[in-house]
Amino acid sequence: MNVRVSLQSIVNQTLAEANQQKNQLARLQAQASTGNRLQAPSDDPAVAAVLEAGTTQTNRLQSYLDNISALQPTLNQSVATLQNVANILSQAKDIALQGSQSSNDAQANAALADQVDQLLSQLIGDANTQTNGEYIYAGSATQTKPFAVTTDAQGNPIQVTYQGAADDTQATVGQHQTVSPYLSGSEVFQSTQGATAVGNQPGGYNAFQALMALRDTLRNTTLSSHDQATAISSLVGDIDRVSGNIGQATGKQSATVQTLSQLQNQVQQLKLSSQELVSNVGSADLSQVVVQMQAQQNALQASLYGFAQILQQSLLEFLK
Amino acid sequence: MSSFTIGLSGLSVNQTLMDLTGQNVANASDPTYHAQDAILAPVTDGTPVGAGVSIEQVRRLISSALEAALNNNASAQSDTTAQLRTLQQVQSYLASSGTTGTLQSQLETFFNDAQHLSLTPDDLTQRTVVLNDAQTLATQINGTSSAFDQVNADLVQQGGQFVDQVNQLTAQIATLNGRISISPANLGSNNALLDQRDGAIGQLAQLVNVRTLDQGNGQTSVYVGGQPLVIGNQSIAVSSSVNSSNQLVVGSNVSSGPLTNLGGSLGAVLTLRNQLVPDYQNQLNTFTNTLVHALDTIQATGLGLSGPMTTLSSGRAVSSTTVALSQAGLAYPPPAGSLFISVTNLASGQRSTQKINIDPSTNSLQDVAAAIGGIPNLQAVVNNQTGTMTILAAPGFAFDFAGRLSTSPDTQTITGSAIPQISGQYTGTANDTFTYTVVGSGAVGSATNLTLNVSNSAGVLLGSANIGQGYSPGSPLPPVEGVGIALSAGTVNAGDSFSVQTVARPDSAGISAALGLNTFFLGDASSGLQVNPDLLNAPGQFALSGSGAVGDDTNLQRIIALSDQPVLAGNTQTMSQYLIGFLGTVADNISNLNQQNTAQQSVGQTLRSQQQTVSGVDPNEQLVKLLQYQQGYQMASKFISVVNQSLADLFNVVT
Repeated sequence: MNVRVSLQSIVNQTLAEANQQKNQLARLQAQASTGNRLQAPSDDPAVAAVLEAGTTQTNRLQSYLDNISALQPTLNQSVATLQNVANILSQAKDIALQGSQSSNDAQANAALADQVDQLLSQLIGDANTQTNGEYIYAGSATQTKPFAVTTDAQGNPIQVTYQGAADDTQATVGQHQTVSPYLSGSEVFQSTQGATAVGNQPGGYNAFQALMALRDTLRNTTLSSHDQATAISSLVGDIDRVSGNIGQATGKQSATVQTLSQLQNQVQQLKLSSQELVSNVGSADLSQVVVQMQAQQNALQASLYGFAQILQQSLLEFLK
Repeated sequence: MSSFTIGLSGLSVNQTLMDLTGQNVANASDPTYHAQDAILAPVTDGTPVGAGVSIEQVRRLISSALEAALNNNASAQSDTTAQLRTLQQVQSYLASSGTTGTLQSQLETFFNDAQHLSLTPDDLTQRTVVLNDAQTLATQINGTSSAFDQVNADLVQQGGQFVDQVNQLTAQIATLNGRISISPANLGSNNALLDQRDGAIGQLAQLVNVRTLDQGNGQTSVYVGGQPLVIGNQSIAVSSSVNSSNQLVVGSNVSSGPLTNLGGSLGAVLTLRNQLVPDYQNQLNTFTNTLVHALDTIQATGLGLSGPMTTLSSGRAVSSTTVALSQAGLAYPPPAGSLFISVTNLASGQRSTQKINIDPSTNSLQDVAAAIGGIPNLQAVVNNQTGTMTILAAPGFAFDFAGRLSTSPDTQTITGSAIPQISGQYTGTANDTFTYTVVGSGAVGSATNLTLNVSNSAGVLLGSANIGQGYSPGSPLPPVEGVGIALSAGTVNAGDSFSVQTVARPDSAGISAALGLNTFFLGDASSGLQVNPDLLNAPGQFALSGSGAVGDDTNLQRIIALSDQPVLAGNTQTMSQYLIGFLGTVADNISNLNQQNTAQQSVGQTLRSQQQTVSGVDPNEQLVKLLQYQQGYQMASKFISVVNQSLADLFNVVT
């Protein structure tokens, strides 16, 4: 069928095509200049939802990583402090072993007792360690000095009372995952757990009590040297038990440090793959964009050229 | 002697045909113009030859089916174009930069900063950061909500403007119909009017989907949504209004109900105003209400840095203090349930937790105040003017809604002298009552075979501990679901028992959120939301602790857990997923409309090409015809000249 081709329809056709091609060009140009495949969610709602979820996931994982990094110094300090406490207890044990020899005279024992006092004050200092203004062994009562000391006239500790909270703190390091950076000091230094099982040992797992008992026994001049030596020797077991408990706490914190560093690797991997997804789905393929832009430009030029050509084909040209 | 007449008619007709060509070429650029051609007929005068030629009719080249299809297409295109324009505006409110949702990313910032806060829950700076995040989120919610309100208002105004345009066009069509009917129907003097009228119908089609009916006398009636808007030279005006159910409707003076299936730009406005935008507003409100209710309840049932409160006023007022709470105009009406209130003696640290039951279908604010006032050392005062309630603790006492364990048993029947003390924090997930029963008799810490059993309210034995020989009186027994018990030195007898209320949901009635008692937010989605100014002024009051210890973040962990809880869309989506879905709905609508619009454009393009093949002006065709008519004119002239010459020759013979 031969149809009439009016001037109007040529103009319409050209305008519609040029418009479409310019739209495509603008879209490609936006992709090239932003580097993003989508400029608005409506460009591809399904991909946009994936992108948004991916970005959310990346940010969330970064937040976990930030928390993990921030926790590591605190936990490392806790482990170092507990190792120091273990050292103190091991020195105390040496002193107890020395004191348990009945050949010691009162003066030698008094000198040993002075050393124990030194160790005791170091121990109290460690138990009241602070980091960033928070006590690390006060449990969740991080602003409360965990161990209050009552001293005698000479300034030597005679009673250490726990004032912190009974529960550990919990810091988020992953989805439904928390770790305890600040332990309850009563668990670490004055644990009564299992005390009933072993028949209420005097002092139980109480580190302060163990050292104070050692010191007091060393200073006790009312006992015969043999009795004194026997009493001191019986305290070695107490110190060992306390050391064991500290060792447990150290183990717990070291395990947490290790868990955290494993978690850090895992989360980093997850974050990388989540970033990769976002980048794969959301980034514009520049070389493709440039090639397409060139093609669109050619198409636009072709349709404009076509318009110019067809307008020349008028009978007017021949009627001069 | 008709020869001159014949020649003259040839001259005249060809002259007119050349004019017609000129008219066609002159109007070639007008898209509403329909090319015209002439139907010629020989003039008969009873002689065998006839008396020349005449123009019987100048007609428009038109296909009414194509014109109707074009009008339909114009309606459909205007419909999707208008919807797209508004939805793109909505999308830009929801996703201000690229593809990231504004609300969603701020919500995530809030949750991520809350996670950081779990490192140092007592850090005031970090608390302020989280509170400010929430305040920004609240501002964004308010901004989005008022943007939606503005869109709705704009749509109503736009609808009014479109209705005015419809009325102008229908009046114009009716007037033109009137002029057409009185013009002589042949000779083409109507064609310009017909083009004008059809052009007006085309414009009307962009506003509303029209159906036209040719009345046979050149007039066209126009129907919209099944109702006539133009009949002959009469037009029927329409008007728009917002009805009692907040729907924008368009009705005519003569019809009882509103016009339906409008289509076109006006139809788009109705779809947007009555369907799409309200749907988005509902989604935003659902999200906001869930967020507000969850955070409010968490804040109300926790403890700030300074522990329990001595005075507290409600921040969300009731419309009347004596009507049931469900009727009291609360933005978050409470469900039926209970509220646990702990009263602490500040000097001794002794704490007693008591339960009040609230049934919002019968209890008024006055009733709630009376129930609270019934708890020793508490007083609740209702202000009938403001519709608020203030809770006051007696001097030396403080209260909270954290649902902590009482320090002494709530009920006890101990015939011996030992005194139980309770400590710890319940870790179970449901409210319960633990009952402790003594098995055996004798002195705590020394009797043999003396144990304490603990069972829950269902009678299930949860644990059993030695309190006889080997137990150090006063030291805590291994905790059961976080609840620790210590028995002082003294005696107990077989069958002695005591019970403790264990609370996992301190405010199952949601009364704290409903009344704004120590809530995280104040206000609501519709009236404007803000973080409780008390918290912003004193971030220490941000209740992150469940136990009261400053480093305890049990309550903060509830906020963090909220980020992963499916609390929306029938408990299938987290808040973040819901917001992504919300933006996705808008994006999907736009994407679909875009596709429709593109398809309509290409259909429109095809239809216009077809219409041009019928009604368009082809310059070459017109030029060829012009040459033809010129030739015809020349021939007619030649004919007259020949006839004239013949007559002259005849005269010469005669003279």
